[in-house]
Amino acid sequence: MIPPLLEQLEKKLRAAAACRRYQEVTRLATEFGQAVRAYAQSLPKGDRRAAEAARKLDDVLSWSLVTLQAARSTCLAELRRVTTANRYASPCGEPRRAAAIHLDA
Amino acid sequence: MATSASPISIPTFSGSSTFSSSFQQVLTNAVEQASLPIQQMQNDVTGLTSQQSALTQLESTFESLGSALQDIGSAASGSPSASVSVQSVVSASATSSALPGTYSIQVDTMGSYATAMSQAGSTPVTDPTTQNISSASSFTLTVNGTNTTITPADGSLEGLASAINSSSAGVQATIVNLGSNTSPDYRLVVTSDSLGSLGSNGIQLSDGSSELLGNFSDGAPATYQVNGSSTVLQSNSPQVTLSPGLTVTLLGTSSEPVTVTVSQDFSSLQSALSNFASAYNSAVGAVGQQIGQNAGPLSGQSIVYTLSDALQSISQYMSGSGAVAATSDFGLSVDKTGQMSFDASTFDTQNSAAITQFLGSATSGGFMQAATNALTAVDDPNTGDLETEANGLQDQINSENQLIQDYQTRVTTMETSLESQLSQADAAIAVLQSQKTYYADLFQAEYPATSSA
Repeated sequence: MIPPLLEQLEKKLRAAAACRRYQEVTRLATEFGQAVRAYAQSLPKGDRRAAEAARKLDDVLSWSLVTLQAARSTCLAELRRVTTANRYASPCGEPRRAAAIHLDA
Repeated sequence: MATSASPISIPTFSGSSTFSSSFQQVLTNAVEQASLPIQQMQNDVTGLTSQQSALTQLESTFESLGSALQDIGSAASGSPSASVSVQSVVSASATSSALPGTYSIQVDTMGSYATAMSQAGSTPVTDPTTQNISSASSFTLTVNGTNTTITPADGSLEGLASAINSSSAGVQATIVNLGSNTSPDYRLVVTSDSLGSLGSNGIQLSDGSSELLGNFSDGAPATYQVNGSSTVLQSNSPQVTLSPGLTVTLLGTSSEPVTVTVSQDFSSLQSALSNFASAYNSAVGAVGQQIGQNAGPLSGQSIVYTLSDALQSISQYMSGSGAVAATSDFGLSVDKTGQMSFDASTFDTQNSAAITQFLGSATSGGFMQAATNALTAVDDPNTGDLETEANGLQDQINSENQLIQDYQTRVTTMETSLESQLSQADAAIAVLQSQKTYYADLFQAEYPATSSA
């Protein structure tokens, strides 16, 4: 059984990662790691809940890492999209031309 | 029971993620791409500036053409010129108010000036720069009964003569030598400024105690007859106004009338027409540089064709009636290449009145009004096509520059925002990577049986 404190930290960390709150992710990841370690140290030696807590920590950090990597890729894609769009922005003060598709019916 | 917790070392995670190596390159590429439209807009501004420069040159050329046209208007009616049949008797000059025609004048007498000379003194004046005919410091000059006080600057004869000449007594003083070179005898001569009699005591000079002048010789007016009239006229001046705007100078007597002819001189008009042809060709050349292959920056702009049309309307003007119906009738013609030239010999064969009628004026009609209107339409400083085009170009340049500024601001803002986002993402990823490795190693070491992280 994972203590409620760890569950709360897990939820906060996942929410921060999902919302791309990078600085909050950094803080919560550190806080979550310390809390898990403290919890594990508070358990009797050989208690299986320590291993359970370690797996939980690894799972949450792995998920957060993948989520941030995905967010970073999205950010780069956004950058490329915006710059490409800007490249074709009306350069001479002329009205923007709407794209036209001619369908051969 | 839980064992006592050992102090938890707080891991520090810093550095860059494994993705950050390409981050700066990506950002640089992105900004370069975003700057391409700016470069394009700057190229547009450069093009517009070139157009503006070309337009300024055209404006200058058309202003010169307008000025040349005004010169034609000023000289269109010609300018009076006077000539005389016997140049030793009179010379003549005519102003713009002189009426063309033939006048005659017979000079009977040339007239003469009243004059008086200082009398011989007990001691002759041998050096007029230091000696004088009187030791007085002030004199009274009487001319035709009018007294004038003369105060020489020094006690010399030259000083006295100079003081007389500076006065407004209507006489001129000179010094003559009645002696020899070795024994000079300088005398003061006072002569009236105008012809005619001054009476027996016409010119007198007193030093307060004695009369200094003698040998008085009275003058007489010039006499002449005009246009065969038996009336003998008198003049106290050699310059005689024969007619409004026509002045003759009497040079000698004649037993027969001398003819003075006033006619219109069109040489200035010919010169103006020649200059107009040159200015026209300059304008045609300037417009031609914006048309065809290797055309200038205004190529394809409607203003070029507007200017070309204006030039054509000038060169192809036809009055529709009269002896002179087109500019080519008096020598101002355009060849197949569009070049205008002026042939003075053709001009000379035409009736000047017909040319003047064809030219008209800028306000009353004729060629001058048509050409003035055509040029005003294009080069009026407020409403002309050239000014309108120039204003439009300036507006475009201002707009482009504003767009460039806005775009640069957008690019900078975008760069800053993306850099911040990616930096934060990189830092967070680096922290997570480090933490994941740290805790995996930690739990592996502390709880080997639980290693699964």
